[in-house]
Amino acid sequence: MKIESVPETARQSALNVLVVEDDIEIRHILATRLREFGFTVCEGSNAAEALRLIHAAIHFDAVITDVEMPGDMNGIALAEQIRAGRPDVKIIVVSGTNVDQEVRRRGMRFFMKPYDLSSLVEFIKECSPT
Amino acid sequence: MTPAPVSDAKAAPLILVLDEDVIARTAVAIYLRECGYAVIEASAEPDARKMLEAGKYDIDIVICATRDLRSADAFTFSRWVRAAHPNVRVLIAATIEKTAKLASDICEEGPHLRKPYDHPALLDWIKRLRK
Repeated sequence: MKIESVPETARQSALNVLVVEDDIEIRHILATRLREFGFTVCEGSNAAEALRLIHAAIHFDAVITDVEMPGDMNGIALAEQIRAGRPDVKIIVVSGTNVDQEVRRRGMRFFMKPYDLSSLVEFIKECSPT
Repeated sequence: MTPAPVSDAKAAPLILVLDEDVIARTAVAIYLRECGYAVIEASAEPDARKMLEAGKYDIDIVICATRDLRSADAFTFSRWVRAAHPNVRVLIAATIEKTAKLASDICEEGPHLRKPYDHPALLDWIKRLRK
């Protein structure tokens, strides 16, 4: 993780991705798959957890967030808040409901569930400077 | 993405970390993965039960952080795990210090990929992130 305080051995050169999803099984499977692709992945179960991780100075190259989540903030509101503070972070919104227009209007990328993982991975890889 | 069972569930010993504190949970999960374990992260007891009951995940160890859970809930949960899943080892940690020490001890006995750092460094990292 790109964190100043982190012990040296925890630092990774891989792209850092935050997965925000309230369904633990979907979150675990997606995070595991992304790790298999070489990404460093953190997990949040709702918007509040995601913001806590981001405010803890963990640098994320990309955030994948579900739309419908418990709590005061849904995934689109979370995405907007992240975008406001971290415009360099690539935001990917996923949902079983088609909110493509709403998401694109905000300059973010939408993937409708069930989505093709390889397409998602290719999109995240575009974050890489190389 | 279409949910499907994780194919590598037994490629490495599997630890379920139940901790309502996302910072501590994330740091411990990163640490254990660097040790060579696979880790499931649960933020709440119902989520942990769901993964244990799913039948798809051969969970070896549950680390249950009790500082945020009501202690009655934590002990009820640990009793349930021991009764319903007697092959699963349950470890209870009431403080962040204890959680970090448990993770370090598990790392010592684990897949022996490498121990990324000592538990005081892990604890220090968690405390810095939580500020």
